[in-house]
Amino acid sequence: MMSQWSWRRLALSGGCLALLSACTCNLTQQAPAPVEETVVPQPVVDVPEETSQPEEEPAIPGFIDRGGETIVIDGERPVNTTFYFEFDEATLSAGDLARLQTIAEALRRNRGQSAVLEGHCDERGTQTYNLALGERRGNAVMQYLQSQGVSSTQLEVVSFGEETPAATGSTEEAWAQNRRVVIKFP
Amino acid sequence: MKVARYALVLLLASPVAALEIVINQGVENPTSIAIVPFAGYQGSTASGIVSFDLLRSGQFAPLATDNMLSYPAQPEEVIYRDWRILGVDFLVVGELRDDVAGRLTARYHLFDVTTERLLSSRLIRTNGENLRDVSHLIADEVYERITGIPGAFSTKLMYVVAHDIGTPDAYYRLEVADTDGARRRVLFSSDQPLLSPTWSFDGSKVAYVSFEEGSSAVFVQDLQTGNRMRVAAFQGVNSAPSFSPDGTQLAMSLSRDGNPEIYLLEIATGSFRRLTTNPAIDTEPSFTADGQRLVFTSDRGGKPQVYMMSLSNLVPKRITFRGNYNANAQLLPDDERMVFVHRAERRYHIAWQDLEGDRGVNILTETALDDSPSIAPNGSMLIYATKRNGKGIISVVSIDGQVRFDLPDASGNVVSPAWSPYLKSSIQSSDL
Repeated sequence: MMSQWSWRRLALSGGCLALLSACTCNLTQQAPAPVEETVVPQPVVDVPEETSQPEEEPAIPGFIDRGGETIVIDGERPVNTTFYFEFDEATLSAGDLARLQTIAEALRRNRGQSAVLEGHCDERGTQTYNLALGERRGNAVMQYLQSQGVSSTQLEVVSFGEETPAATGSTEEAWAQNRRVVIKFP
Repeated sequence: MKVARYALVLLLASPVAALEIVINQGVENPTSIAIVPFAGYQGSTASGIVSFDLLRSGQFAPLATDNMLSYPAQPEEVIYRDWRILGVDFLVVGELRDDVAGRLTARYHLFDVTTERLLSSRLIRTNGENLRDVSHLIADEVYERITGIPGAFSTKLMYVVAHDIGTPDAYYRLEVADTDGARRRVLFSSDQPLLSPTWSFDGSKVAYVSFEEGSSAVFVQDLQTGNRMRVAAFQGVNSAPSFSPDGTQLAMSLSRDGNPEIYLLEIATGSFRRLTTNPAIDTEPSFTADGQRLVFTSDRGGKPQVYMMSLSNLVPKRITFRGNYNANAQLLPDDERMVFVHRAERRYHIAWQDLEGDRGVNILTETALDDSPSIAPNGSMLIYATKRNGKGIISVVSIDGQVRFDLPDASGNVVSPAWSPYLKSSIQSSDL
């Protein structure tokens, strides 16, 4: 029943991803690891035995150490852990939430892994108010990750306000690059 | 209006080049004054410093020494005609001398040329203070004698110079300098951000925010001893220090309890008192001169606005009603007006308004990325941070907006300025 097993495992992981907002998946393995399967009742089907094939590696997000930097992996690709914001805003888009779900799952599977959420602003406005606004952006990301089951003990928000921009220059382009939260995994 | 433009560079024998002064604008009809090169060793250096101080006030037009027809050093040598024909209104003559103990003394005389009257004769005795201090004091006295407003030329400017921000090579220096950019002195340097420096009311201590431990923390530094004390490094943002007038307390904005609130630290005991309870951002506290009230920034109404709060009842009252971004308020010494950062059409200006009454906003600057206004203790000038040609500079502007000059650094970005209070001096000045 090899193919059925693989299919079921993939379906389970896919289903879990889709239900992230509702389910409280209790996955305890260290990444990368196969999903702990729960038994799903299936109608008995007479399927001919297949020859053994190598198990497919499920596309499960985890952490890898890449040259000293810990990054989140989704399948084979690293997940972009920078999130951008509109002027004066601290709200996340639907696309942001999807990426954060991947990151949340990686953190849920790795309770020992912590994440620092660095909040930033563009140069406009006062330096001090921008420290608070940068924190507000970091908090928005933190709250979403927590809503996805990540433990608060794994998360820390550090605001840099406008002090460490990604891009210098006083243009809309530079400003857009600076309004961001960067998630780092120490 | 005729705009006088000067670019004056002071090259002094110091390891760090002085902040260059670039004067953008002065008043329309400045008072013509002649500071005759003082007699005695380094006399012309001293009179040059006095002239430059008065020039920077924007209210005076010092006569170039080359244009002078005579060079009196004593009252009896003064020929009023020599100055009247040049259109000079006021005249200062003087001399420097060392007393028997080798200490610098200065004598100067101020004349009203139009009425041919001697207005004042002063003797200045020092106790090891140097030429610059004596010169600034003379400028302060001449300024006050003529305008009625105390001079602020003996005060200091504190600011941060930031290099290569946003790169791994970034470094930051907290500095103090004379108001003419000379005598730059580094108070603290770091490869992590430094911001929001502020003076205690007696000028003996400064407080600032430093990221040296990885996130924002508030430090207090004694200027005499160089001693540093970390006073707030809680979870979250630790920011916006502001001393109480009596020096016993430090207001700040801390997000330790979940969101930025105003706290008051009793410096001697280390105990904190929370002043605001609101899920919005509450930050940038600043005391009134009587120490009884605070202005601060809050976005509890949706956008940042300035609020006033009495320390006795802690009830915040909104006091800015124009535009949807008003922040970083600093009170004028009379506690009746304040300057702050005001956004108009996505441009950030320094503006002032009355605390009471109509509260109409008066915009003081044409630059658009303004921040960190700080007022001179005589209330007539303020300094703020802005950008010109892509570089961070600090800029001085008079409260009436007529006078403007910039202090750029040769290589770095100058940010976060703070004008010192009047500073104690042991120079003795008396009538001759």
